[in-house]
Amino acid sequence: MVTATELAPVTFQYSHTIGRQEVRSGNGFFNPVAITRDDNGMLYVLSRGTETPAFFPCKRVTVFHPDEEEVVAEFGQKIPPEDADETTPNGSFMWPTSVALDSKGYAYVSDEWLNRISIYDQERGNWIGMWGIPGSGEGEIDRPAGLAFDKDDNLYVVESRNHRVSVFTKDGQFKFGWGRKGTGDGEFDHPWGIEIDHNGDVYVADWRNDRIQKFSPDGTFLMKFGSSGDGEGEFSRPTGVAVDKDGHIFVTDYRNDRVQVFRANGSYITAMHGQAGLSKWGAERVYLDPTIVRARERALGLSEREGEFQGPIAIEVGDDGRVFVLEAPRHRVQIFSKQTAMFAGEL
Amino acid sequence: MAYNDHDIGLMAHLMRRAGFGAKYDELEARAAKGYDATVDELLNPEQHDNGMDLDIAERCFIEWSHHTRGLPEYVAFRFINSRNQLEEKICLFWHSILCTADSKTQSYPTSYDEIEMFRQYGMGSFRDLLVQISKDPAMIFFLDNCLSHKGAINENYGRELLELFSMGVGMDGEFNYSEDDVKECARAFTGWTIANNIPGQPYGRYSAKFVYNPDDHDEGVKTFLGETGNFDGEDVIDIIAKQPATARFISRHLYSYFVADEAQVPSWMDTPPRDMDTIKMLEDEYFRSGYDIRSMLRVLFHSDAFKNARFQRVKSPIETVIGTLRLVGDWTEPKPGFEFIFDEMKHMGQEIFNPPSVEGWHTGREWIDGGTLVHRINFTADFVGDVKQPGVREIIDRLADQGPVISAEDMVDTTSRLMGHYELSPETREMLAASLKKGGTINTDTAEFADRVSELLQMIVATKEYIYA
Repeated sequence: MVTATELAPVTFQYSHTIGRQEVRSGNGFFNPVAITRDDNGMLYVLSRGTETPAFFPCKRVTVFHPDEEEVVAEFGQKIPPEDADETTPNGSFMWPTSVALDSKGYAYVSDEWLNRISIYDQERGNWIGMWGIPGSGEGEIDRPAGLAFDKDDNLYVVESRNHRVSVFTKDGQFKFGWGRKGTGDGEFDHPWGIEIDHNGDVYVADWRNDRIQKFSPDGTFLMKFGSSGDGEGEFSRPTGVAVDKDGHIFVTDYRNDRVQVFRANGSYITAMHGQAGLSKWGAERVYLDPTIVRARERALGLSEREGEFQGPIAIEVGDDGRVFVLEAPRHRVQIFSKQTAMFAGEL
Repeated sequence: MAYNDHDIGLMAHLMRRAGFGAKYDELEARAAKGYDATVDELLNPEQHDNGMDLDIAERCFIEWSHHTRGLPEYVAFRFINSRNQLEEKICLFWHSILCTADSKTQSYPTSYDEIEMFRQYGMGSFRDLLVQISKDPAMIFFLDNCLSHKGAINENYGRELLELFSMGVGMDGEFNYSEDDVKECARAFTGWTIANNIPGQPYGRYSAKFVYNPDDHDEGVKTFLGETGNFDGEDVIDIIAKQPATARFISRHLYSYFVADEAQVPSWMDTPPRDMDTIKMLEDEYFRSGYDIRSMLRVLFHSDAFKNARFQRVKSPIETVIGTLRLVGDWTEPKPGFEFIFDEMKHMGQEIFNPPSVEGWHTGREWIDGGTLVHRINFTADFVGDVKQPGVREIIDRLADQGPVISAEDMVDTTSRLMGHYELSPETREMLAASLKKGGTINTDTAEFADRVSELLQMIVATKEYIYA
């Protein structure tokens, strides 16, 4: 008889860190809020940036290879706040919040202030269209946050201020939706992140309710887990959720500065707290200035303090077991590999 | 409880001083609750929710996460929206006295820790507050105590602790301490330092941490303000806290911030307080309460001197900006465009987290010159002239409730009352009424009425009276 015994549920091997604070463009991010990965393994990181006029263009999507650590594309355009209205130029961002890729590799970006979904091509991020009608009626959107495509290229849009999930075709035709403000099953309070697993089931980071809810593809409530707090299985404003091929659920526990990992039934497995080291892009900046090098050498507890997650805001996991954790205030991605300890053999 | 116009006027005064002002509906609600109950609520913020959706704000302004950026905006958002107005006003009070500047410290996370310390200790024991500010990493770096070593002291912090943070140079024409006291004070604080911090590159700023280094502390005997012993920093603070000069110094600061403009701090040695009776009352409470700031404030807010001191302080730029935004009801929730407000405060002469020196900002009439006055008027006129602002809309609606026609004089009186019981001089009132009359009969049910109200509001904020709180 062949059995498999789970010795230790799951562990993570730290790989490396990508990123640095970069207020303009190039090798780095600035207050990044969303991450996704295409079929070729390229990462897309969305930087929310800042209003400060001198930091231009700090609102952008950066496309790069996670191992070669080379930026291959950037797109999106910052606009000054006084221009952030219905006349905002195509392709511009004010409060960009999420990025998702359709089956052709087109990038869709939500903007919580402009209430629009902007679309960019798969080549160099040329703007090719947008949709979104502000409002609370059916098919209208208010503060679109998390985005996720299903296998049929339907776009699931989390609407934080309408407290619901709306499903659109990728050209913006409304199909169906569910949710309203509340704390009951299928109700939300300012939801944020969203994930669709291999079965098409939908997970929503119910941000202000400090919980994760799971639904069938048509929005039927399946389960929930989590409550407010900082203990195991508790959350303080969970922002992002991801599910891997084993059904493990990863949640960015934003205000608790950690990532929690759960079994498919929502039971707690472990928490990750971060292990960041000096990134390649970071080293490029640091070694330009000897005073920074010396300051880092002298800094007390640098490896511990710098390594820890701060404000983990979004997460991406791949079928290859790689885990990408994005931290907003630290402008970086920490990369891990999941290791499942298994005993396989004949007893 | 029942309230009258006088109660509303007194409440408007209290909220301008113990807060950043309030709209008329809040004044009515607080007046209904009563003056004493409102003072108690303001003095005990830990007993109340602050009423803010800070998590929503932090979500919209992602850069507030861990306070690596955007700290002035974060603090201003609290000033505008916190129900616990005195708690916020006290943070600004201590930031204006126990000064550090981001232009040197260059670390918003560290400045955030300092502000939170003011929030926690700002209405408690002054002795405890001095201990905390002496351990504050921003202060240790700003005044170079991290460069002060056993056998090689840096006097900077020791000097300012005495001169600007606790006792003042002198009182009643006499010096409060000697140069030797400064040196001995600095010796006592050797070893109070900060850990070498993580630089801002490549991942942004981290907060600095206080550390005590016993190997670098001067263990020798010191003589300070007439007492001799093997003093450390806390011993020195114990001695400072019990000095009559400290009671005087803190009392004058409280008076100047909450009651009426005092002379500038550098002249306090030779310039007596403008209201010695009130200062004496505060000094007595300082000692009676065991150096408790909350107790001093309670005595102050219940005093006739406070209640009668309306419009005897020039608003600071921050009070002007925040007070105007609270009046018109703007920025009650996050939206783009918050950063420009800090440029306005700066142009008016007060850049939060960047006082011009460790002495802080000079106050009173020194806030006003030709340039800063123009900025004040332009800023406030822009906001009160916007009839879409909810606070302006409320004023328009309340005026319209008076009937289909309103006289120019009634409109001036009611509008100034709705803005917070501003007391216009007869000349100003007459001038404003005359201006209104040029537009003919004031019909409140016409489309033009809102514009006439906004024009009047713009004229009122341009008057001398609106400069004062």
